[in-house]
Amino acid sequence: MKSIIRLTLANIKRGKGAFSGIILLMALITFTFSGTVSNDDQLRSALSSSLDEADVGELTVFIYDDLLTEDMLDSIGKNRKVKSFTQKSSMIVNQKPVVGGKEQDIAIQLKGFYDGIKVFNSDFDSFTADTDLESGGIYLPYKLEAMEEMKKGAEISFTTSSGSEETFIVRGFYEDPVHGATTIADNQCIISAEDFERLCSHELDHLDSDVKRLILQDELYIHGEEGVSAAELKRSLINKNGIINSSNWAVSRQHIMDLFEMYSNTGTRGMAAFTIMLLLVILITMHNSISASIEMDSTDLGILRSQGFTVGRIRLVYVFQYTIALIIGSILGILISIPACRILIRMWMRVTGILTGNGVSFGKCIIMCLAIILICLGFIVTATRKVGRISPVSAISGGRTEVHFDSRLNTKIRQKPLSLSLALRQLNSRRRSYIGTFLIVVLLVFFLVSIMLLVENLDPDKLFGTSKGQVQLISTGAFTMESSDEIEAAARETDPKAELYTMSYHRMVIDGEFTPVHSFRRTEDYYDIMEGRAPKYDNEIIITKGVSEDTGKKTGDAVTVSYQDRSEEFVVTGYFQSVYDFGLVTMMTEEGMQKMGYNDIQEAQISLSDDSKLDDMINMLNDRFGDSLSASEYVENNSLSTYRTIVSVLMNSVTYAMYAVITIFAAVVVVMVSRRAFIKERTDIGIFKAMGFTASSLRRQFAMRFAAVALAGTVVGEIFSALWARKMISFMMKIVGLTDFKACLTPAVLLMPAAVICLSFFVVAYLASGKIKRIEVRELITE
Amino acid sequence: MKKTILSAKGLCKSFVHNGEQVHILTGMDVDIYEGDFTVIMGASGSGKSTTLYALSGMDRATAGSVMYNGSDIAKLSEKKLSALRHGDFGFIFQQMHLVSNLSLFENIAVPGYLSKNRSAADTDKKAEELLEKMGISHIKTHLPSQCSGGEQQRCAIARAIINEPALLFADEPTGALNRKNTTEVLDLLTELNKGGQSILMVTHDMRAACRASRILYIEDGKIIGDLELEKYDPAREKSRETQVGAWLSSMEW
Repeated sequence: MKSIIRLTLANIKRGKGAFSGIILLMALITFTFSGTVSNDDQLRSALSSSLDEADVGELTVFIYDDLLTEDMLDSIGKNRKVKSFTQKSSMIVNQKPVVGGKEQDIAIQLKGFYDGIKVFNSDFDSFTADTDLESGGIYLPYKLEAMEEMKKGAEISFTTSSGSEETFIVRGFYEDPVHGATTIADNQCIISAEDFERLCSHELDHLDSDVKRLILQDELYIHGEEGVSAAELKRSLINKNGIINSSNWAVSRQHIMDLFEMYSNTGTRGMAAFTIMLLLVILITMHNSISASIEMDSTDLGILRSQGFTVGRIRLVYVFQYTIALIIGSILGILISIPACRILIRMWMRVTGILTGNGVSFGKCIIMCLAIILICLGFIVTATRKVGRISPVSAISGGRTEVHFDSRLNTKIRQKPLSLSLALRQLNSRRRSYIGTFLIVVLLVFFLVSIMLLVENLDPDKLFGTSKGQVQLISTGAFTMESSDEIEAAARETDPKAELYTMSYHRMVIDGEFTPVHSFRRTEDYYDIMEGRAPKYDNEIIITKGVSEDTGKKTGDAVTVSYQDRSEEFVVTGYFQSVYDFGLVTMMTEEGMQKMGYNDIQEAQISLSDDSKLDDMINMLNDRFGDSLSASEYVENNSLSTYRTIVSVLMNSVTYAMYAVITIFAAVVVVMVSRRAFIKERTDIGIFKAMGFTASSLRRQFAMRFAAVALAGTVVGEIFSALWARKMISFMMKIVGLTDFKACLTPAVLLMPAAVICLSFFVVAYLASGKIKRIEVRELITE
Repeated sequence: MKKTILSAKGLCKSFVHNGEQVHILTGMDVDIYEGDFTVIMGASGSGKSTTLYALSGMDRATAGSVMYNGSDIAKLSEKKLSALRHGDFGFIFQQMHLVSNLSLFENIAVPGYLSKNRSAADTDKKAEELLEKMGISHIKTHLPSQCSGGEQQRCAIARAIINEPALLFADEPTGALNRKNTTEVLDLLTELNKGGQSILMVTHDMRAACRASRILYIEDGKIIGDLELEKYDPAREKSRETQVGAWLSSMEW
C-alpha cells in the first residue's frame, strides 16, 4: 500500500496540470449543481412553510362575494372529501391605482391585516417584528418593490364605488406566498383591519352603483381529507354547486408552488442537462488524460511491471490519483457554492418574492458528488485496462508505440502550403488522440448553440400575447365586448385602417378541467399557432398541448365549456402555445366569450396606420365614449415591463453564467488536451525545429491542428444542434408551457459559437505550445 | 592553410540539477576546418554531445561565442537560426529521430521544401537521388517504424544533406546500430567527406573515429587532445586503428 501511495503522490507531482484540471472541472460541476439544487430546496421549503402559515390547503378558491351563496358553503362543508375550510375576505380594486400622481397599470387587491403577516425589513434580508399597521397604511407584496414608483412612503390612491378617493401610504413590503410571484399578475396588498372593514361596508352600501370600482371577493382555503388530491377535490366541487364554475380562480396548492418555482424549475432542468454535459466532458477529458499518460509513461510502467508490480496495483495508482482530484474538486465546488448561493438565492427572490434561507443543500450535493465520483471510477477502471497490454519488454525497447495510420486518408506533403499539409498529416496520424477533443467540441457547440437559440428566439410578444396598438382604452364602466364594433367603426372614421384589439381573460370549466380562457377580437394575431388555425367563429376554441393532454381532446374534437350556469359545445381548431398558466390555457373569439355570458374586456388598444392621427384618435374616443372608457397613448404595462425586465435579467444572468462556465470549461479542457498533445509530440516538434522550421511556424502548425479538430467538432455540433437543440429546449421549457420551441438557425447563432470555439482552441493551443520557442532543440528532442 | 568554417571561443555550458549548478563546458576554444572529417571523443559525461549541440546551434551556450560566417550563432535571432539549420547545417542524431508519420521520402524532402532557392519538383528529384544514393529508394514510401535501424539512419543522413549543408553534424550516428549497419553508415559519411563535405561527429567508437581526418579529445569540458590524420584509406585501416588506439590510450581513454 505504501508503494501505491508513493507512486500516486509522484504521479500527482509530475502531472500537476492534469490533476489541477480535473479538480477545476469537478469543482465547476459541483458548483453548478450545488447552486441549482440548493436554490430549489431553499425555495421549496420556505414556500411550503409560508403556505402552511397562511393556512393554504389543497385547494384555494377565489370567488366574487355576490356569487358566493350559503348553499355553496354548506355543500363544501358537507363534501366528504373536504376536511375543513376557512373563509377570508379580500377586495379587487377594479381600476388602475394612482401612485405618485400617475396611473399604474397593475392589478391590485386589498386584504385586511392579519396576524402572522411577514413584513420585510429595510434590507429585505429578514422580517421585522414590528408589523402593526395603522389606519391609512398599506403593505405591498415584495414583487412591487421592483417598480420605481413603489417605494416606502409612496402614496397609492384609488376611488371607491361612490366616487370618493382613498389614499394609503406604503409602510413596507410583505411576503405573499399565494400571489407574491412575478408570474402572477394580481398583487394583493394589506391594509389595516379597520380600513378594510370600513371599505367593505362602504361598498356594501353602494352595491347598486353603476360602476363597481371595488369588488368584494371571498377566498376559500379548502383542506382535503387525508389522501385526497387537489384534482379530486376540484372535480368533486365542479358542477355540483357551481362554486368552481363561478370562481375567479380555483387553484391547487401545487399549482401555486409551480407558479413560484416556474423559473427555478426551468433553470433546474437546464442545469441538469448542463451538468450531464459537463460530466461527459470530464469523462472524455479524463479518458484523454489517462490514455496519454499511459502512453507516455509506458516505459516507466513496463519497468514497474518488470519489478513485480501487478497490473491491478498500477491501475490502482491511477484510480487513487483521479479520485483524489475528484474529491478535492467536489470539496472546492461546495465551498465556492456557499457564497455563490447567497447571491443566487437573492437573485431568485426578485422572481418569487419569498425570503428563503441561503444555505447549501450539503446532503444532496455530497450524494451527487459521490455518484459522479463512482461513475468516474468505473470509467477510470475501464480506461486503465490498456496498462495490462504493457509488457516489461516494451520498457526495454523504449516503450514508444509505433505509428500506424490509414494511408488512404493520407494527405500529400506539399511545399506550398508546407505547414498546413504537415499539420493535416500530424492530425491524421494521431486522430485517435483527437477524438476526445472532437467530442468535447461537439458537446460545447451543441450547448452554446442551444443557449443562443433560446436567448435569440424567446419572443415575449408571442409568449405573453402582448399589446398591439398605439392607443390604450381603459374601461371606466360600460366598455364591454358589446360596444367594440361601434368603437372600431368610430375609430375608422379618423383612421380608415385603424383596428381595435381586445383581450379578455377568465377561467372556465373545459371538459371538467378548470382552465383559463383568453379571448381576442383578433385571435390570429396573438400566440404561436402550432397546428390548425386560430378560432374564427363563436363555437371554436384553440387549446395548448398541455390542455390537450389534460382533457384528451385533439384538433376537430368537441369540448364542453361551462361558465357559471351556462354550458356550450366548442370545436377544437388546433394547438397554440403560451407561457400563461404553464401553457394550460385556451383561446376563443370575442363572440365565443360573449356566448358564454362573459362581456368584460381586460385590455384594449387601437392600432393606427398613421401615428400623426394619435391625438385626434384619443380626443375623438374620449369625446364620444368618455362615459364608458378612457383613451390615452399606449405605454407598456408597468407590471408587464417590470416582469419582463426581471425575467430578462434572470435569463441573461443564467445565460452569462452558462457562457462563463462553458468558457472556463473549454479553456481548462483545451489547456489539458493541448498540453498532453504537446508533451506527446515534443520530439517530433524538436525534429522539425532541427530541420529548420521556425518556432512560430511550428506553433501555428500545432494550433492549426486543434483549430481543425475544433472546426470538425463545430460542424458536427451544429448538425446536432440543428436536429436536436429545439427539442432539448422544448423539453426544458415545457414546464413553462413552451411545448414547441420555434427558432431558426441564423448565421449569428451558427457562426458565433463556431468562431468562439475554434478561435479559443487555436489561441489556447498556440499559447500551450509556447515551449517550442522557449526550449532549445536538444531539450525538445531528448527529454 | 585550412579554412576555418566554425570557431568557438570561451564556450561554457552549465545546467542546474537539483538546485545545483553543473558545469559541462568550461571555456572551450575550438576551430573546425572546411573539408575536415572531425571527430570528438571523450569519456562519458565529458561534454562531447553538449559541445556538438552548442556548436550546431541546437542548444544555446551559457557563455562564449560560436562564430560562423562572421556571425555569432549564439546571438542569432530565432528566424536566422532556423535558416542556418535548414540551409547551412545538417544534423544526424543517434536515435535517428525521423518524423514517425512521414514516409522516408517525405522525411528527406520536407527540409528541402524549406529552401526558397529550389522548386518542389527539384526537391523531389534531389530526394529521389539521395534515396538512391543511400540505397533505400525501394522503401521510400515506408514509415520509419517499418524500416531497420540502418535504413532509418541512412534516411537521416539523406535528410541532413538534402540542402547541401556547409557543415554536417553527427551525434553518435552509429551508436544504435549493429556492426553491419555501422560500417554502411560510416562508409556513407566517409564518401560524403571525400566529396568535400565538412563533418563534425561525436563518437565513442574507435572504428568510427578512424574515419576522421582530425580527432579532438574532451575532458571536463575542455579539449585536451587534437590529433591530425591522413584522409581515410580502407587499405590502411589496421595501422590507422593502431595509431588512433595509441593516441587515445595516451589520453587515458
